[in-house]
Amino acid sequence: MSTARLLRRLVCLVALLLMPGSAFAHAVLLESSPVDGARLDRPPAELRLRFNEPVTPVALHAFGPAGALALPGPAQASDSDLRVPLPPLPTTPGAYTLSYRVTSADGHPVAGSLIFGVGVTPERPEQAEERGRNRTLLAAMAARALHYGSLLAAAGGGLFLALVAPGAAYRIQTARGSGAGGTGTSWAPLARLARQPMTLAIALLAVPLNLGLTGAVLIGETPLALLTADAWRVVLASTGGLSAAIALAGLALLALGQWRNRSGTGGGLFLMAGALVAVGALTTTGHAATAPPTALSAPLVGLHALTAAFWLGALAPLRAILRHAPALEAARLVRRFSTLAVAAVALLLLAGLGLSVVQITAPDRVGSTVYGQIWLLKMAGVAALLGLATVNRWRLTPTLERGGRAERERANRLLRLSITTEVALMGLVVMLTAGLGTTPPPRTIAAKPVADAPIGYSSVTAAKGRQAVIGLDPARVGPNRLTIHLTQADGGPFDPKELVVELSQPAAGIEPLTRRPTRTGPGAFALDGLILPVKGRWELRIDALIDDFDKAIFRASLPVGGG
Amino acid sequence: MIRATRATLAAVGLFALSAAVLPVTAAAHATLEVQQAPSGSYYKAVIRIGHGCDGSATTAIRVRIPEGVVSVKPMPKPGWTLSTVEGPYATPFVSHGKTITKGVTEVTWTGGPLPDAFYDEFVFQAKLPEKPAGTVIHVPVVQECDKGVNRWIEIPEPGKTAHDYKEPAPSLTLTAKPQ
Repeated sequence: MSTARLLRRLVCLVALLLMPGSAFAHAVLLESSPVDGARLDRPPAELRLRFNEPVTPVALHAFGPAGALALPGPAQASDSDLRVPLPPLPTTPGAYTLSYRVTSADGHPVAGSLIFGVGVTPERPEQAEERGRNRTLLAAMAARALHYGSLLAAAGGGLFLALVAPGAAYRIQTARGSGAGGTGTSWAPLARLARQPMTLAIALLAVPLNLGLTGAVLIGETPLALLTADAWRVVLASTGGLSAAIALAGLALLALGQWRNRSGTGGGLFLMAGALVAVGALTTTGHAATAPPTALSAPLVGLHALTAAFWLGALAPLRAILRHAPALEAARLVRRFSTLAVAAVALLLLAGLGLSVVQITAPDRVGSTVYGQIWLLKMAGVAALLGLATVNRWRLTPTLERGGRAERERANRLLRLSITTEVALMGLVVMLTAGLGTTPPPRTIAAKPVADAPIGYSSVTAAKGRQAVIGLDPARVGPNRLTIHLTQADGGPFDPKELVVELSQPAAGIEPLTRRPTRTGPGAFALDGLILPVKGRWELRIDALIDDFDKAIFRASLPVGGG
Repeated sequence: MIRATRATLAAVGLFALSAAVLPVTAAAHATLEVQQAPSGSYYKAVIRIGHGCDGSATTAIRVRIPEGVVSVKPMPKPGWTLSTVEGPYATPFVSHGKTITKGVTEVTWTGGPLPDAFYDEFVFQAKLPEKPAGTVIHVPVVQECDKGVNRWIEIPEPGKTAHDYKEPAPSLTLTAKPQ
């Protein structure tokens, strides 16, 4: 069974086993205005969504009691805020839904919906269309694993040809050209023996396949959407497009290097450059490479991928060498690889450790999150690989060098068996890595202040032709987050000269608490850790200074539930 | 006993009378001395400043001339620098056959300082708009101090009065134009 076929099977198998139900968001919606599920007294002029990182809107659809609403203009994204203008809505009671799909900085899609009612408490409709989406996601994950595996194998093969065995070519038996039953011999370069051209071809095909399916995931369609222009338009605009271009450039250099190397020598410079560029593609997309601080994350991903490529890409050439090279030559090259590999593996593990710490953030999240569980499985695979590598280096390689003839042959057989096992394990590890790439890491989950926060309270009020959307989360006794979004009469953000809020509960004899919210974006303000000591209706007053002599006073009555 | 009761009654009555007649919040806020004036008349606005900003001395008084109030002439004040801002009127008015489209929209006295413990007045003259009797005109005033600022700019929302606010804008009510 060829390496590629084995990889593909593993990819599908593991995808089926591990795919989490629906969690595939990377950017996380931190808050919205109005709050999801809110009941408003009057319709808002716009909706605001705040994510934990910058996002680009892909598809936004609004629905009202009378069906789809035509949005008056495109959504505006500034930093991690998304403002969705709404058409003038009637004040008659009705429930509204905004369905949104955005891409985050790491090129991953985030989808969700926001429901609010004007004069009524909206009811959440059943989620039904997740199934088809999961199939797309599975296909995309398999394509990603194929992309990772073939890209690393091609890059690593190039490194091996250039660094470990430059000029290697062996005499092999051929059945061709010598008639029935007869065998002849011919010289074959290591690249061909190690099936490098095929690996390269698979890697080249995997790039557009991965890109197209990523696009299909981004627009939320079935796997066949990779045939639509929309999927490509969206994905090419994301970091995935850049990454694919770099990967193709790297693969082209590798192809050039292999062509120069077709007689077994030369092309080393192209092979090395190609390997570096191809691996560099992985540093431009994905949540591992785009995690803050990117100045640290991207180089770590690059180092991790480069050293992984060195290991993964060496397996096919090593097996070919063990099979075809003279015993002494084979022992020499295996030893040479082994020496380089010790350093490479040390760097691989260090970089992996660094990336894991950034993504997982805390030890207790390993067991409690899907990401952590996939990571554990990957570590099990890595441990098995390290075990095999240890046996190969400290038991089989010395025997290969110094053993008797029979011992040497046995070591050669065992080493080849070990390498085949390593290929299988590598496939598993790559598959799991692709799984990590499509699962939200604890880092982003940690950014959400309250998991599955109880529905807070939202209210819309107007003063002096301006509108304020007020959100209180969780609207319970204890610490609360108050958010205020102000818009001008023309719908643009309203940034007052000064903003002061006062909260009081006259019924409980609580005199106004005066606070100054901090500005979180254009027209957006928030007050964290606002302690509301008793339940009941709190009176909120917001003084927004329009200019020195004029201010808009917004009032709202906020119901606060018991703790 | 009877005398004491009578004295108490008298005191209460006097207090009630004064409460009804005198501006209630004269001491606490920036207010206008005369709070009623005929529609369309020339009016001498006296802004009374009774205290600083939380004990800090006053260093500037800025007045926003409300819509419809025209022909503004501020009175210079020793120790204070007087300046005005001119701008277009939202609704031009006709004076002696000429259409006036712009004029003073803001008056500022800077200087002093006026210590918290002292009282002072800032004066300007203006022509009031010709509007129905009962119309309330609010004159937003910003009082700047060494430390802090008081913005006497709050205009009561429908259903509320100046008493519901901490920093209400000084105001006057128009009376019927004399025939």
